[in-house]
Amino acid sequence: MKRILLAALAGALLGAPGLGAETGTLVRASELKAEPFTDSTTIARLAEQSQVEVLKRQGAWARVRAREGEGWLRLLSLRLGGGPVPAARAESADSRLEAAALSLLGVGPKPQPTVATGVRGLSEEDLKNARPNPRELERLNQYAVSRRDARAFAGSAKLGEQNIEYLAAP
Amino acid sequence: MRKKLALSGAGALFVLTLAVPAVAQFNLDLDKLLDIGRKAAQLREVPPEEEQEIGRGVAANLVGIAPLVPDAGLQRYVNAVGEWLALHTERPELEWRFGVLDTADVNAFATPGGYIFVTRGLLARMDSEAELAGVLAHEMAHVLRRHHLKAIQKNALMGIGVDVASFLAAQKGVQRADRLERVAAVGTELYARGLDRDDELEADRMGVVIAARAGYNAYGLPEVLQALEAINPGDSHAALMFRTHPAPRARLDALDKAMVPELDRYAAQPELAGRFRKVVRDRH
Repeated sequence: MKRILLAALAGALLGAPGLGAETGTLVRASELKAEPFTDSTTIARLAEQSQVEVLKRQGAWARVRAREGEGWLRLLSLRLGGGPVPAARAESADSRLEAAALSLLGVGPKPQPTVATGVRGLSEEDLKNARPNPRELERLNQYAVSRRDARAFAGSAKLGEQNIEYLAAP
Repeated sequence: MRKKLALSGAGALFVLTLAVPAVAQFNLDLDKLLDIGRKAAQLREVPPEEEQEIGRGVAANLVGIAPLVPDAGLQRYVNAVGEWLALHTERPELEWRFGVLDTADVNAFATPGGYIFVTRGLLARMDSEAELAGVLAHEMAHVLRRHHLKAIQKNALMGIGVDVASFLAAQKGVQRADRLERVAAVGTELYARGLDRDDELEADRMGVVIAARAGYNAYGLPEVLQALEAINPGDSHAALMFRTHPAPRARLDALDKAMVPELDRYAAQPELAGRFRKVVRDRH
């Protein structure tokens, strides 16, 4: 029984492509590495536009499953979301995200109106005709967090400070 | 034509007041002198107090378009991340304020003086606190380098003929408030046109460093750019952001080149996806 359960679990974890897995498309030809390091062994050379399954991310690297095998790619060499998708599919994905966005912030799911009535936007027109709202700005001030609280907030998550110079322009 | 004449007049004024040594040094080439006058005008810095006032005006306009998400917990969380980041910049003394705007549009804004906004639509495309930190830090870089102020200044030169500091300095009371409002309007409209491409790329390079200084995984901002890249280019919610910024892939390529190898050392720092989810996703 236990073994069956374990097998099922393993199946769920290893198999079933697309089940919660993220897909990626290579934006440039890249080396599939055995370890997430630039000087690690190269398992295979993947062509631009190759499709891979993203298994997990680790820092600047993504563990992927490609046709040529499993290994590590630079995260930024990937276009996530499976590359160009038909407009209809992309749209449904967008509205799913949108619904999630609304519900996660407690706005509740709303049907997407075709005309944007009642939906606040930030269009060019809105920016041109903006009117100040000082009361709302006052509300913003009330949400300010003191330095001390910010330090405690960072400390509770063990965020360690680093000394790093800004990057030079290329 | 008339506008041009007015501008020349302002330029000549600057030549007289600021560029006197140039007159002695060069032959009287009016075009050259006007050019010097204009450059001097652009370089004239707005004092911190006025930078803050202008920012307050622009921020009041932004929350006038889209109010804040009515969730004190969420707003405080974003302020905590932002204030922590601010302590790792060269202008920690600014009155930094952070807000989440209640709109499905995908965008983020910075005003002079330190008001930073992200939209609910952009927040929904993030997965971790490190990603939020990367976006906030990018916007903060615009403030640190006074990108918007410079753009307002350029615009003001064409619209009001003098630099912003002089435009405000001569006035008091109601008239000054009116002029501040006009500058804030110019600053707000600027978001429809966007900043210089180089300013955006500079803010990207600074943003990843500020986030890493504060202890976050340096790749938070790139991960958000990857999420933006996955948005259908025809999505109306992202239209303004796409139109006013370099393409996500161009920004990613530029970052990729700039970040390797120095910033890779900080790729293993915390992402804090759990805390982000708790506050942003699971609260409701």
